[in-house]
Amino acid sequence: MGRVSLAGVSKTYGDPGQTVTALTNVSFELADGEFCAILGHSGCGKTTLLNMVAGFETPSAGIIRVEDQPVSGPGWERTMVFQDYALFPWATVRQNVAFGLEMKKLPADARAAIVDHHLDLVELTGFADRYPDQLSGGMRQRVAIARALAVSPRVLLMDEPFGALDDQTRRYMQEELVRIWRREPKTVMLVTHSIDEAILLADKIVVLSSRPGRIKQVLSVDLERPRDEDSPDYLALKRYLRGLIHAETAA
Amino acid sequence: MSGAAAGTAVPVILPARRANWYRRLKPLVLLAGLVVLWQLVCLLWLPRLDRQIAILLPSPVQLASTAGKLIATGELPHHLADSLRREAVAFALALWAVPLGIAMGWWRGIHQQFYPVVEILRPIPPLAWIPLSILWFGLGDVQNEFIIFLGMVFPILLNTLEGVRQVDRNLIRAARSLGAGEAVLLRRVVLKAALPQIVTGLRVGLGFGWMALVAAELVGANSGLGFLINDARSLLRTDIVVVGMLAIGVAGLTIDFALRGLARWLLPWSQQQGGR
Ligand SMILES: Nc1ncnc2c1ncn2[C@@H]1O[C@H](COP(=O)(O)OP(=O)(O)O)[C@@H](O)[C@H]1O
Ligand SMILES: [Mg+2]
Repeated sequence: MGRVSLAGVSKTYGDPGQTVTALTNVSFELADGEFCAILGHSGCGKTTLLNMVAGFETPSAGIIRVEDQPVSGPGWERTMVFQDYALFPWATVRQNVAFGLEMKKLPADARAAIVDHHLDLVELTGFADRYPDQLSGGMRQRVAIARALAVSPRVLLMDEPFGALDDQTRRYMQEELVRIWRREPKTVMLVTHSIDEAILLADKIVVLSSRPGRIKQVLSVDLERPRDEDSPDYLALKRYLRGLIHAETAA
Repeated sequence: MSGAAAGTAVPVILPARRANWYRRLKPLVLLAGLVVLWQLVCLLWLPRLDRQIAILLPSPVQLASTAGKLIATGELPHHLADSLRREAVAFALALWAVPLGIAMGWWRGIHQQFYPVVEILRPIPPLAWIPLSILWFGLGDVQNEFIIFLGMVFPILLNTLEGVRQVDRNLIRAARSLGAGEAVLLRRVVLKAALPQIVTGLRVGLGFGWMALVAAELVGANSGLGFLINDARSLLRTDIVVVGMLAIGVAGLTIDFALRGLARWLLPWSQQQGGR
């Protein structure tokens, strides 16, 4: 359903002569239903990578495929949960979640059923008629997740989704995301600069190095869920990743 | 809060009702004082100064009686209606600036071609068009509407353009990835996102248009509030002049209130955060 492959993907911004190379030669593969975290310092090209998978940007070189189909533009099979939520402020929670279903030309009753299901999934049933401005940050984030999931994408893209939330809400939302993902398995690419977030959530961690962004290492996380932050394996992995990232800072 | 009533000797048991009208009327104290002063000046001081000068400043009481007569004879409503009709016709035409502004904000090629034209025409004040427009259209409705239109069109156009350019890029990306095509994107995302700024443009445009209207009617009309006050000037009927001026002010204010109501209705989400 949601296999993703990146082969030799590079991205250079700007006009010839005045260029910024954001990413060079990035290749990795994700199996269907795999939860992948992209980990790296800010400015190492994480958003660029996600934007290319979403189809918002075109790679300067290389190719991205989802289910063997080359990505050539935005589409419902790859939806994004933006860092700043990007909810439509003029639309209620229900209308936001329904937007993609309207675009798919679903009849009204089918649409309502799917919206209800996803509002239930993110536990916002009682807030369907609120406007985004009337919600807390965590609730907006959940609306954004429901909106992205409602169209049944093959791949869910999340750009530092919990960066703007306070500590407690972030914890809660991370658990929620795992709960939702286990109920509705889906290939996920989640960008983060938090080592803990990557280990807590992901099956696979892609570590990027900066300037220009390239893959430092891809590692699997073979810890059983829910993950215990005090287990020796968790701590060992965390120490290892910190070493990787830290070497980066020192260099 | 209750501080307004606290300073006075109002007994505590009196309910909030008194504090309420007190609070509402309090901002009008200076205004009322000035009107009274005006009346006294007209009644006591000016006549002693010079009989001729007294004619130049009618008193509030005199104005009220003149206004009553002008309304009763239907003269004031007639001129007001003509002015409002011209404003409305020009507004309907100037609304074309909204789609044009959206197109300019959205398609680079259209912006490229139209922007120089706009930039050359915009700095010419609408009033500077009056002589030429009288030659083109003669006196009357069309000439007036043309001038009003010129007053309205640039604020509407430029606010719409700016509103479209400032649409959050991620809103557009979100809509695209959820499957929105170009037409849907323009209608359901770009227009909606730019709407607060567009409404601001409409408000400013109506205000500019109203100013241009009076100027156009002063010199190029046989009816309307601008004509009324200029005509009264030649008869030295200063009372009619001032009543006409007040009517122009009240009508302008009413138009703005109406548009704010429209904004509240068009932008229900925008009020949640204090609105515009
Ligand atoms: N649209 C753009 N135009 C030019 N340079 C860009 C653009 N977007 C990102 N960059 C540059 O590419 C690099 C990676 O940016 P980004 O992908 O946003 O990193 P991250 O999300 O990891 O913080 C940065 O140096 C940034 O300045
Ligand atoms: Mg980023």
